[in-house]
Amino acid sequence: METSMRVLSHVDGSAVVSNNGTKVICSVSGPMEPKSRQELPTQLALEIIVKPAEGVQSTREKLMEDQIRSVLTPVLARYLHPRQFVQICFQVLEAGESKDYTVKEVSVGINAAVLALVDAGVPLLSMCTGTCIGITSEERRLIVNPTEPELLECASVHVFCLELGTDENEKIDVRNVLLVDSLGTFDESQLFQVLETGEKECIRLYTELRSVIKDKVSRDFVWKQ
Amino acid sequence: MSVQDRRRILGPAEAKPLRFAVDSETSIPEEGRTDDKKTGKESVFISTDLVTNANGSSYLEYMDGNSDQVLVMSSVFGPRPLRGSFQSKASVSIQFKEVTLEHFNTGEIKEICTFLTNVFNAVINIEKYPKSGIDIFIDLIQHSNSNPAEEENIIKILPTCINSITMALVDAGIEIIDLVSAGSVDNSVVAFIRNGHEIVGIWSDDDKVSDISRLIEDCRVKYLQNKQTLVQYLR
Amino acid sequence: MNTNTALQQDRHLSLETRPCSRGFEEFRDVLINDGNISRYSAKCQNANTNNVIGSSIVRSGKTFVITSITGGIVEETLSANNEDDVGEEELITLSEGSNRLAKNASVHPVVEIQRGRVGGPTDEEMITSERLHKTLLHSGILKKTALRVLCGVRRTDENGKTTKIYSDEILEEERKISESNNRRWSYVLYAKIQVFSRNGPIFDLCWNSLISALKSVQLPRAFLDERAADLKIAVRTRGRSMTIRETYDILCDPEKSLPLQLNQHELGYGSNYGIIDIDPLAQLAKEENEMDVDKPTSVLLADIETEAEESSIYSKLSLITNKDGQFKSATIIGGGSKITPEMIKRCISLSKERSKDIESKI
Repeated sequence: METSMRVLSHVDGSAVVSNNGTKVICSVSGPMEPKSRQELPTQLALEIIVKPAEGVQSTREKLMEDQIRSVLTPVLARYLHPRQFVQICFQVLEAGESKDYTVKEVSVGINAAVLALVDAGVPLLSMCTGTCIGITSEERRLIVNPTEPELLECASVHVFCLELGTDENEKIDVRNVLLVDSLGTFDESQLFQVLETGEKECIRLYTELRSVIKDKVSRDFVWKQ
Repeated sequence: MSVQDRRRILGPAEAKPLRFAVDSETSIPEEGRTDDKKTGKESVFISTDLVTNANGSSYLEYMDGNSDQVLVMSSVFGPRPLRGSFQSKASVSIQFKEVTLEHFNTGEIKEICTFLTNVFNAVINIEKYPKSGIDIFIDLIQHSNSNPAEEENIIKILPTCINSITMALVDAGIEIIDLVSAGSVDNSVVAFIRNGHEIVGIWSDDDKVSDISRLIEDCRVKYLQNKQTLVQYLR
Repeated sequence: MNTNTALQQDRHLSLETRPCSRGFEEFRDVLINDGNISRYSAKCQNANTNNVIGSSIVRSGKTFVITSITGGIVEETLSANNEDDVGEEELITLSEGSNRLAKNASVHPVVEIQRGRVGGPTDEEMITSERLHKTLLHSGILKKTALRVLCGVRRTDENGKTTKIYSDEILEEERKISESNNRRWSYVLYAKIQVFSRNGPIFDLCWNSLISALKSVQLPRAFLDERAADLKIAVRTRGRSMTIRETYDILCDPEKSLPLQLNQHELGYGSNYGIIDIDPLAQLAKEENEMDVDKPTSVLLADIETEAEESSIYSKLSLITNKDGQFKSATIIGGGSKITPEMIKRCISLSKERSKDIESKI
């Protein structure tokens, strides 16, 4: 996974994440004044926009927005900014999958969003990471983060997102499953395999994202010594 | 449409809708149907608890003597606050939609809506509801018609639509001057209130009606029948 | 969601009942029929003007979903080297062998939820449509081959009497006629899904309605007029380009039809669940000694209904499975209470039972 933060200068936070042929840029603006119809009296309102690599928005992007929203909503400390609003905008630069799939774009987008939210300084309750998993139709083998040709061979594809944090003892703490979205043909044992494998991969991504953030913070606060 | 609708999944643009061949030999065999034709009497089924998230609703199944069906559902939303400038009376809007088939074109639908809006503007006590909107949605679930002649269709569904809206308004508890109902004869529909002493709407597809008073008289007979049915249900 | 309703909900739950007065793991009753909407319905009265080829009405509690399926025909673009017909099928299987989705087809659903407003589709309508489309595509329930048009030819003899010939019904020597025109058509299916009295999540309801409507679909036989089968006329020339209008349209037989072939063993039905914590403070203590239970307990609710439940439950599961536990889709959203593997297992066993129940009703 390659990441870079603060790539855009006109927004509050931004990040680019690319992984195995999929590249998404995410920008975060806010917390700021919402339009009256978006305003929530007790909580921070979210607007999520996904723009596809090719063409214009369609129902496909609406579904992606909905999935990303369900992952990001619980990790944001929304009670800290009532009557305020954050806009999170995703531009897919390289889809890395055909129009019939969205797993790679969603999982990469979620990782990008976390970095961009940290960059913007929007308070988070925990971190979240996302990955995608495919199960091949013939050998019933799990492929973590499949490439485009591998994706085509899969009987089922899964997006998996985990809410993670680190407790006082510096131990990684798995807080909840934020999203599992599985499509295709699979059975109960495969679903649990996905949960198991996905957890390992999400923890790996979590440590990776943490070190990226650590580097950034130490660079940003270099004057503080 | 020049701009493709991106908010709906419409399928390939070059696809053509199915067109069924019409040739005399293969038309639907009539024998099976004639049995229950004419023998059946007119019948109406009414229910008013189908749509739960509306303020009032009604569902009417109307079966005529030829066992042709008209299934109509009406839901009333409101009176609810109207945005914008002050209005001393309620504004009534009526939307007509076909749930399954799409027989009517947008022009016809608009005509139906305008006609019904005029009828119900006269019947609903709109002075009672200032600053409010009353939105009525009519869903035509099905109407079967053995005679595919275009003009007859609207005539067949209109009385049921009017009856259905009346029931939905009653269910919603919105004040109306009187139960409005309608009767149809040939190519005309006449809507009445006050036991047929007052006409609230006339729709006619016939351009040479010879005897208008005769027509109204015929419609009134059917109106009284329809109204009787509604009253019976409400008891 | 205001605090009052949340508290009310918690109190309800601590008394082991729900706002809709169902038990925690109790589903709403489901009624499914074809609604007599399709032209192929047993009691159809308007077969000659009806273009609906499959339908269903699903009623679950007060909510009901009406699905009507209509069709279209689209000409498939064939590559030039396919003309020699030899081994065409094998070629396709070779090139698409590794691409699982290339063989699958889907329908084009438009979901409309009645809400007493006019205007464009809402986000929920768009998302539900897209999910239905995508789930069906990935499920493999509907294959492209099932939508292929086996086109016939209509012959008109001197007396004006017409006969229709379909390639799979005819004798060997006549088969040439249909093979002489090397074009291919496919059916396209559109689903109009209308939801009334929405009172909870609708995806699984719409899915069940769509599947039962698809099971009732009859594809009409289609044919070309023999005289017109090879005719093309230029209608407009502009510079070097020319628009060629085909002089014929593919027509459908008003009488003959074939049932749509679905992969029966792939069929699955949907159900949804919610997981919610009961706040210990809101619990009405039954006995004094229970007061010291300070940890929030979470409960599993089947078939989310009412606004109170929908707005206070953030952890949701939506599963599509058959009775043997073969899944077609699983969506788990953990926005609220912690979702444990045991909970997921419980949901899976419930959804298998539910699927069996629904299957028996279609």
